Amino acid sequence: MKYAKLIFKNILRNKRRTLLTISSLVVSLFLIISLATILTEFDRGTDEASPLRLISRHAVSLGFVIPMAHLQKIKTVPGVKDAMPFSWFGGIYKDERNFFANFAVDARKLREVVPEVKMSDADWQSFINDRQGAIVGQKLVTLYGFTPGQRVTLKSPIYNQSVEFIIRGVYTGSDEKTLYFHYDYLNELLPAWAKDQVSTFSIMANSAEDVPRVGQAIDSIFANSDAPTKTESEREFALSFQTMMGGVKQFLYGIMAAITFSLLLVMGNTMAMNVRERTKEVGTLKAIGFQRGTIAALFLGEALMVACIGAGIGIAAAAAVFNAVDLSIYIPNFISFVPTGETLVAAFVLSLFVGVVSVIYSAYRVSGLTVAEALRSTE
Amino acid sequence: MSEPIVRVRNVTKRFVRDGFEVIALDQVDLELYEGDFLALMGPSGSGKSTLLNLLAGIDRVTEGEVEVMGTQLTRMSESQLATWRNAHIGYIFQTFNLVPVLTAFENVELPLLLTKLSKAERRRNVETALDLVGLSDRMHHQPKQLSGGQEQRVAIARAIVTDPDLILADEPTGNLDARSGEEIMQILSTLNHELNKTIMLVTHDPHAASFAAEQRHLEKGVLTEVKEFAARQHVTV
Repeated sequence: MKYAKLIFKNILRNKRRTLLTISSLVVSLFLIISLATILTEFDRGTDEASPLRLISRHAVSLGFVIPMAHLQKIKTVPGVKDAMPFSWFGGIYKDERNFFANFAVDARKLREVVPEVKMSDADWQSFINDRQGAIVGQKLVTLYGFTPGQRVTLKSPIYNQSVEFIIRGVYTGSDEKTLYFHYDYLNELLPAWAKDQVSTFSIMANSAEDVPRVGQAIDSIFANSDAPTKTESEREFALSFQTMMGGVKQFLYGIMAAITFSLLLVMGNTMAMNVRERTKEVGTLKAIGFQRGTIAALFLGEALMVACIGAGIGIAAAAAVFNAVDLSIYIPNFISFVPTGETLVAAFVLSLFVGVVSVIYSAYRVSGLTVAEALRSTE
Repeated sequence: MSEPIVRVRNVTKRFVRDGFEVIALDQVDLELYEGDFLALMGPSGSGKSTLLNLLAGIDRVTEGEVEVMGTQLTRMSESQLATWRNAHIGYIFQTFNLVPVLTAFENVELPLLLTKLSKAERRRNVETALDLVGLSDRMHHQPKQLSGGQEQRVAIARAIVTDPDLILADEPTGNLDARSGEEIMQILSTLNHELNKTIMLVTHDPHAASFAAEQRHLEKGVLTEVKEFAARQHVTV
């Protein structure tokens, strides 16, 4: 600790240079944390998928519908606790830019099959009792100002149908950007060709161990029907979406690597200048009795102190900004946009890594000079 | 008679510059005893600073032996030499070589950071050293806030703060005006006369050299005449 003051005074030796270096660290870390948070969100679907839930859809693709009649047979499969339609409506609120998920469900089952959806008993009852009722997530309320009792019209390009709902409750939970409404109500309004069809069923198994067997059993029931199914755990279902994102994720990782590399170059150059300019001073310190290791450690300490300050500000700024402004409201499919603790720790470790790597060669080289060589330096 | 604290035997230092071998020191012999004050004079390139550097263990001999305080420097590693220097040598540079971001106090404290002294002990030693060079009232000033003479006094305080056995001064007045140079030489004289410090001074300046008890000359790497003064006429007691 007796060297801390010396290290601190040395990083203030060229204040403008230190300020610019710290600024580049702050901006880079802010960007890296933002990108890492996006990647975290991509993985959230799989990470937070319920281990007890399965999704059953048409075996060909999500673009095909399956008959509602499948539901009764699905419920008879051993290991199935409950099941309900979970049908994508694709309704648009006023303008195409106002995109949010909306599903036709069995309102009486929703609470059991998707227990993450939290709402007061009174609101649940109000929703269940009103066939035209719908519930919305808290973030949709923030975004569009929905209030209970408000009439909301969604127009679905899939069915070319506008449907009016009455908001009966506001839920909280992991996904707060979805509108749920009664499947029966929708089914009444749909044209004959679209009646009694669903895009998916959401199925709750008795236990996680039952999940693989239940999936196979359901698919085997409908294997030879007009609408064969593909039933998989919710995690596998989410993974299939992630696979589509594969290229985007690699691209984001590439950007993060490029930012890290350019940061290394910036810091490496700064530290090299810093060390080179003080070659003669290194000679003086060695003449006084400083060992090579101590001198190298002093330079390393300076780089780490700069890295820590930059990381501290960058991480604090990212955490503060993303906690203050929930960007997930504006980004489709994002449930949250708050960096995780792991992301912040990883950013800090990355910053320390950059600090160490940026100075290690310069410090090693200059501390290895003899006293006479260092004192002769004209830098 | 007591043992010499510096014993240089048959020392030759050669190095290659631009493809040519240069003999900086040629079979030099020298002895210094405790309390000696030797001024080493000679023209530029005569090998004065080279000899000083060999005594400080910051350069290596090509041939011969250098023994300081009974320690053979030629057999020590760089790391051992650094530790040894901290304990036994006080080095004063022509260009002061203070760390610009540190105060006078912190500059003087630097060699003590390598010791096991407590913070309070370090403070006491630093204050004593600064008091000896007459800079107690400037201890919190940075080098840029000091005159050249004051900077060199801080450098002297840094050199003596560990109470070294041997003080080596390389042209300590070379960058100073006459008055400041006089002050610096007075301080060195006082250190030698009152505290019995052994000092070896390298200088071009005959006036500065006259503060020493003994003068020797180097010419093309060869140590020549000895000139002893009967009395230290400049010392102010």
